[in-house]
Amino acid sequence: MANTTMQTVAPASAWLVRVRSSLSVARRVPKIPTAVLLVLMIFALFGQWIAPHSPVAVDMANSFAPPVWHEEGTANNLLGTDKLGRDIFSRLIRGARVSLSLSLFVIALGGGVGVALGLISGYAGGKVDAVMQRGIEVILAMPTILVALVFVFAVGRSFESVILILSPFLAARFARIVRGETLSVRERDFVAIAKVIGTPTWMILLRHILPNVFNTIIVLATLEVGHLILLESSLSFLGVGVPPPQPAWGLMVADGREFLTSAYWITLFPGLCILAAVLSLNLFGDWLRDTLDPRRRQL
Amino acid sequence: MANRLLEVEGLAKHFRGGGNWLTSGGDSIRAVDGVSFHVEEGETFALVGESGCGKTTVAKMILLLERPTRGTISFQGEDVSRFRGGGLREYKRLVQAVFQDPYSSLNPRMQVLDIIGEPLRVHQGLRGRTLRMRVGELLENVGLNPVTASFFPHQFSGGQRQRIAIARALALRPQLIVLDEPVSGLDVSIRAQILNLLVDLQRDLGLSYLLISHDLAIVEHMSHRVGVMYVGKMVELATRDEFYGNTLHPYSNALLASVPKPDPDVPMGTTIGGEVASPINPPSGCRFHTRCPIYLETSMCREVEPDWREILSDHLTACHKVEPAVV
Repeated sequence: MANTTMQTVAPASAWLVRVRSSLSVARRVPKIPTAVLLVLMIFALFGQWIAPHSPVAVDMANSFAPPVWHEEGTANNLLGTDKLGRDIFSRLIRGARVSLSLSLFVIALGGGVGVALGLISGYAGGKVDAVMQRGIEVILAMPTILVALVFVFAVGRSFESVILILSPFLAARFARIVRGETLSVRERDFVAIAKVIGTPTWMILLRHILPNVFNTIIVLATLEVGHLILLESSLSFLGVGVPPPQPAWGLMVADGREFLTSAYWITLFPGLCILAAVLSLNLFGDWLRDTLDPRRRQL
Repeated sequence: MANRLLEVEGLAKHFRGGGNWLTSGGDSIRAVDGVSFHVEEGETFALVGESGCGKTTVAKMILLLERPTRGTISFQGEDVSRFRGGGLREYKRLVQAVFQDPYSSLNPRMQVLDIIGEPLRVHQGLRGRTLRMRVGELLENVGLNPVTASFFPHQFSGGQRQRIAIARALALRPQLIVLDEPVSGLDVSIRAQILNLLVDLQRDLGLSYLLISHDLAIVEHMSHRVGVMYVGKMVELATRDEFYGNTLHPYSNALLASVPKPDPDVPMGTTIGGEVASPINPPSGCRFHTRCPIYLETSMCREVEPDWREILSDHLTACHKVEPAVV
């Protein structure tokens, strides 16, 4: 019989194998990206107790103070201050909440809707697909920044309005890519067999198609977080993003731009935060994708 | 005579070729063009022919994956296209399928428990312990260890995967299983295992098989009756012994002659000249006349489509050159 290798695994040790393999998964978590993300999450959740200063306290006498390792730097402002004398370190900590939560909300709302639309569009095909794809093309053809400007002027500048206006754009990107993947998965034989069995369509979508496009969704989501952080900063720069004085990384980068030659720290540290967050998310996303794939899990 | 489980009458499937909603569309592809046969209870009916002859399209129509252009499919005497609600559910329970490629027919993201359990969940609402037990039984039925229920498809070889696909097809105790090239994707060394498993299951469970294959050796081993298709049409239909002993149609003869014999003294099988005719623009008259070895320059073969006639009892063919022995 060809299954001798299977028989070497006795029922009692199958449990052991499972425990051991889940331990080894935990051991392979990428250490640095996970640590960075954990720190940022702690900042986002508990920032008001960690930050040494208020992020909005203006102190004009102490403006453009350099970081602590410069001669004029003091431990009171570890990473220096901006043009209004606000503490950069405190603003970075409090800014984590705005930048990360905005991205997560948009990913959850826009991504969720986009995945659902993409699955339906790709699986239904025909006229449903054609109509939905034309709709998506209309959204993708619109200039994000311009539409956001008009929208925010119309409904008012707030955290919620930024989420509402960015979500449709994200949904369109997700829908387009998920639809493409769905088109290829639905032609596989296991989908045909599910139809022969009489599996309801919603179950085919959730149990057969969705798990097989999940890799793509994870990778896209981690890439889009970085994109969203940058997009939010563009909107803030144009005056339609998260309203000041709430600190957001993108806004801080924009603020420091004109002082880049004289006070680099205003721009550099929020920029590094964006870089660290985006890079960590991408590396973490890669790990998550590999872990979720049963073919790679046992390697 | 045994009861007719499945009966196919004048079945046809034409695909619209090329073109889109702007252009009027190219010529239609007549993948299947008037095929009739039946499958009796407990037997294996084999549908053979070269690739592109439409045999898989016939299977898809029976499995309700394609809608026929013309013709009817009846199951236990009832028209399948009329099934709705409970009747449709019952049909989907009684008719199952095993496909050629066991790498594509198992969802790589599902454990074996969920793969084999899917029909049990959908039709019988089985969960938890009961489901696990039933899946274990099914795995044993196909010669796999029940422990493997928690494994994923990539942990199995091709032959083992095909066993899983067979276990899934058996889960609902069906009456008919459509086997679309069930061993073509497997190594030659394990084909016999899978074929013998299928034969044993048929004997033990009283299953009927519709076997779709291009491999005449497998067909001889497994089937009770054989139908030969060429470019969307049935050209010969007979019992297995009759087909292999007294082949009538020149195309069937050529197919049989092209099978290599496992004997070094016998020269390699002869091949059929020419190429399979295109179903987009099939030849006039007899569709095989462009390649037929016994075709003579008669206008008959070229212009008149041969009738589907019973030449001997239970032995039908469509050829002008074959004279009926019984009328």
